[in-house]
Amino acid sequence: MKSPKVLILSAPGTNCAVETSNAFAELGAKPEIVSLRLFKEKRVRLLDYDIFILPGGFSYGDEISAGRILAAQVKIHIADIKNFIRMGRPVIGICNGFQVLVKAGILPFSPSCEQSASFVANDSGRFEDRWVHLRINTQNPSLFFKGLPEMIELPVAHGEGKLVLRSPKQLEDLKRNRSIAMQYVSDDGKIAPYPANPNGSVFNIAALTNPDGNCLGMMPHPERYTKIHHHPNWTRQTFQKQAFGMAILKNAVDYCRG
Amino acid sequence: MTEKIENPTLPVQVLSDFNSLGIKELKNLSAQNLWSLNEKEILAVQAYFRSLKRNPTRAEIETVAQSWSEHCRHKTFKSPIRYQEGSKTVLIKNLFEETIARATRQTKKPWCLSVFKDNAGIVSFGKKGQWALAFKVETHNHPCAIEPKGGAETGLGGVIRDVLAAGLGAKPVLSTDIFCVAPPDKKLSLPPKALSPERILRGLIAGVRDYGNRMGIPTAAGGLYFDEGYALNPLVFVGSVGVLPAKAVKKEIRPGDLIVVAGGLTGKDGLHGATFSSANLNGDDHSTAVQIGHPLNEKRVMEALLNARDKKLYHSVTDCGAGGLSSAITEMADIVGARVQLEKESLKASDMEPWEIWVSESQERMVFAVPPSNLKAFEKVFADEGVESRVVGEFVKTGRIEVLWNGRPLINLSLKFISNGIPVEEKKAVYIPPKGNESRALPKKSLAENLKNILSHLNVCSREWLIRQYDHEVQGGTVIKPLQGTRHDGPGDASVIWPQAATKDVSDLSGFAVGHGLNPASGKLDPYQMAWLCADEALRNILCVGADISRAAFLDNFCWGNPENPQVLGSLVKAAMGCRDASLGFQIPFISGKDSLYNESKDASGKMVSIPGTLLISAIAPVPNIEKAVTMDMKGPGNSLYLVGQTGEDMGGSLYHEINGLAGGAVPRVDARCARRNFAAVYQAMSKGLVASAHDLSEGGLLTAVAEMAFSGEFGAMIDLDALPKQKPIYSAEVLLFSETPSRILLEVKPEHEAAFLKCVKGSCVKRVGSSIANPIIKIIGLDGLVLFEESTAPFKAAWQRTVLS
Amino acid sequence: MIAASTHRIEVSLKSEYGDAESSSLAVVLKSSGAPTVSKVRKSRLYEIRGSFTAAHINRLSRDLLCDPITEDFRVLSQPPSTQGPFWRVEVRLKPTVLDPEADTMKNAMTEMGFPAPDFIRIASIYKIESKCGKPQIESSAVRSLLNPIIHLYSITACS
Repeated sequence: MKSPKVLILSAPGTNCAVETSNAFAELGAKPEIVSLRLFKEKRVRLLDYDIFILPGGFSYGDEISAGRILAAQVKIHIADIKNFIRMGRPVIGICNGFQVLVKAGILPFSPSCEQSASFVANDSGRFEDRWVHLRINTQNPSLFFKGLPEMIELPVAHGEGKLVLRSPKQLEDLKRNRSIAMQYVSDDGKIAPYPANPNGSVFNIAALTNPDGNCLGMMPHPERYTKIHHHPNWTRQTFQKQAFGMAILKNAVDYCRG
Repeated sequence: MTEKIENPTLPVQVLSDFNSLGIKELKNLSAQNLWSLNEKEILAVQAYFRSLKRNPTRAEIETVAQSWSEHCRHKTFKSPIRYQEGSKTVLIKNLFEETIARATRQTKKPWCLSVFKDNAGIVSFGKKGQWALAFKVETHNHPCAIEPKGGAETGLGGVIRDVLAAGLGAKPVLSTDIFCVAPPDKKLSLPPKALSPERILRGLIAGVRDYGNRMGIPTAAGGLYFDEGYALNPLVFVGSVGVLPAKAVKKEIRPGDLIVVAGGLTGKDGLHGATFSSANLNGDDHSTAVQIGHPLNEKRVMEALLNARDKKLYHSVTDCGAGGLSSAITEMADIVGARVQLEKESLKASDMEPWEIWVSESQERMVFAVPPSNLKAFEKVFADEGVESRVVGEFVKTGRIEVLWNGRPLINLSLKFISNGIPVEEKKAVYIPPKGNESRALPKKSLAENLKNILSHLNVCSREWLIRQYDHEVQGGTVIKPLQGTRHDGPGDASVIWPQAATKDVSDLSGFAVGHGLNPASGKLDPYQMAWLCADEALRNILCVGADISRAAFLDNFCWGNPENPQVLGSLVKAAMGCRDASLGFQIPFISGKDSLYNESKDASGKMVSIPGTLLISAIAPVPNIEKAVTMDMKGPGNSLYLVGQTGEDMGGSLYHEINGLAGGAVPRVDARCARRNFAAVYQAMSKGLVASAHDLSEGGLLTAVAEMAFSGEFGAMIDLDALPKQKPIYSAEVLLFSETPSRILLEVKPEHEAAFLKCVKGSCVKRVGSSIANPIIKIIGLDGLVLFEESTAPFKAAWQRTVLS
Repeated sequence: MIAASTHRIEVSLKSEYGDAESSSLAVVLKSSGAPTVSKVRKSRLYEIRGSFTAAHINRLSRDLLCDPITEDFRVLSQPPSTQGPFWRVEVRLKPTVLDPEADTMKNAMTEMGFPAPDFIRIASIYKIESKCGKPQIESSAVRSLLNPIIHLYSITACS
């Protein structure tokens, strides 16, 4: 397969679709921004695509709660997402997209697809845009982190990013099935409180995957680090010479190319 | 979308005795109905209807009142002013034409694609000039004083729509916000209904945050200025930059085009916003003039509009702002004419009078001129985004605005009367220079103490707590961020935006920078120089991140008190003259501007208080290659520090004076010839990659700039005061370190670039004044060659990082 | 055909989840003239008018309005029961002011196959624990939580 077809979902209020699409185009994939309306009208089939992206933004204004309304719609109108994941094709939910995946019961993965985690307001009580240090879980089986170092940096920008779980036991399950993909850490790689952990997420979780590792939900924005000039310190040239966000997206594309 | 209400059939309201009313009754009528028409104006309206031999409908007078309002007409800037300064009196026929517009014409910049006529100024942009940038900044002061969050939301929403309606529509890629408010930590005695400064500031921030973040537009070029003079009248400047194809700059209505309204439904919200903005705040309840924003609706409109633009489905567009459909359609119809069937407008309230529908300022609506053959396609594009569109009439070549209400005439006015019928009224202006107190001896606080007080001053200290609440990186184009340095927390001079989300072309590395100059403190002493200082500061801010300022353009925003007061108007005239001269001096055109007057209110004791005359100059310029952009944080030890520009004894209006309770001294003057030469040399060096960091010297002067560069980069600096280029001998270290002489920039240059750098800056005033050092300390060598100051940077950073609002 | 009536659903965060907004509100209220505020809990009240069955309202609450992990909801049949002592401040936008959240919710409901509601208003409810009297609570609420120009509000003592 030469150019994987990427479906980037747009719904009222999603707002990171274009830059995400630009990144995939630069990687030689074929991105398409597809409106949720086309799913409702049954004019598009998810299974015709190779990669599925739920981009960042404020779907439906984040009214009621972040991602809540879109999650309810995805459950009804894009039920194929379960098959898509079962077939091993890459799915990434970014920021609001992650919130949607969680509230639609896709992540954390369970056979029943029942919602088992959620997000609440950041501990700081407000929206925050900042770059964070992340530690990639080398045990995580996912396809998205090939060739990346254990420690990377990406920006986050959200107001309701504190991941909460139904029970302490669930955290143990997530650890056991290696579903925790990334954690917020301090610049020296340690689990640390705010501001290293920008929202107060349980166990500093920044990203989750399903146990098979092809469905990734992440609060940080890979599409905002596709060029080294996105890094806040690129003028200092003291950081790694790789745009980590682009590397994550590239892994999805490479995976489809086989 | 909100539920649509079936159109009511309320009758047309005719003011049946209008033509026979006496002046007293007319004035009462104008006041009662919030028309804000003065005596001469309402008489002119009566004379017009007497000549037609019929009484007007209420809707007709509302139309005229909206169109003649200060908000829509800028009467002060466009009517004759008899201006007196000293013993000289001159007649200024049109202040705007004779100052700002004239300067722009004289600078003759071919890359200015549209100035002063569209909803935003438009300049050429992109590697091959195939794009254009639309930039608009405006104020939203009155609504924000009453309901800060809603006001900030609708203000930002309004300026975004201006950019959406610039040319055939630009995609917004940057929002800017500047607030002038009273210090939140001071106990002020306020009148009963006034909101506290803290409440106002919290509300403003929440409004810009919640609206801007939901729109998916980065807010990355803001500012915050504190002065007690804004306690009753806070100022809110909101701006938007958009990108559009150069081919989409031109818009032209053709007779036969349909008038299509798209967006939110019309309701009672926002009645009389335009005329309200001409009235001063007197504690009355203006609940309908206040609204809250609906960003999701605006975003839907934005997506549909950009899609329809690319499909070339319409000939022209304007936004529904102040004055609602009345202003939008009248403005668009300008040289043709329009026929409207108002009952076709979609409503969300059931008890609306036809005139209310016509002037309602319900948010998130746009008006389009759509050729009939495109209507179906146009409607589909909007319906697909969930936006309702409706045809309400057509443009016709009649030179009139004719509005029917269920077949009955509601409005029938000649456009000539609307645009030219306003009586010209000469205003009086007097400029009396404020009495300069003699400067007192400098107090003996230590340099360290002064520096700490400056860095922790409300107008200097860190804005990180605020900037992080805004999504300043959405669209993936913020390549130079507002916070800079090792720990991403230093005070950047400007952001650089690479609008890849608008151009969808990642191979074009063109970016742009936006900066602002605002200096009300100097305006209290000399409004003319204030304009120069604002222009100079805005330019330096964008130069410091690597913008090509030979391609810069300015925007002006004037916020003043009551122009009926000759002294208030005098200082306004003076500032406008300063804008003209600064524009000519720097050879930089103004491309758009706004004014907000009558910013005065009664204080707790019933005394009318006016804001300090406040000018905001915003600058925009391309950064031709974003990979050559520069930040302000010190990059390493052993680099040379170069100071651009001479230092003079410029303490008048300085922060040093303020924190030491001193007054007097002259406001600094800008030497434009010298500055231009220096700036051009700096840009040359930057575009060749020879400058490691750059920071402008503003409030707090040299020592403040050095400290900020050092602690942001986590290095130290050594400065030799003897090496400073000086206008004349200066023997006071305080003056050398804290003087606020304009046009100065501090640069850091690596040893390997020094020879090439010196070649670039040959012939300009750029002198080596010190070096960066590995130890995080600031070391100043005094004029006597001895160490005058040697302090660790850490406590200064801590002082600077105070939080204004938790 | 079900007769149209108004349904009130109150959604609040479960107590085990810290509510950052509410804690900062307590600080703001204290500095706005109600010095004895010890705790604030905020919840949302959805007032929905339309022809709905009890099953509709339950499904709406579960599938849309209330987060199954972090929140609880109650359908209020009469004025709220009391688990005081606290002040209950209800704040809603005036009918003349557009309510974007209600507007968006209306859309979402029809898109999810619910009958179209006639009317929705969303109120914020602040449960304020404080020894202050009503006038103090009212003036500090007006100074910090709401703006009488765009909001309607009520303050009741719950004991």
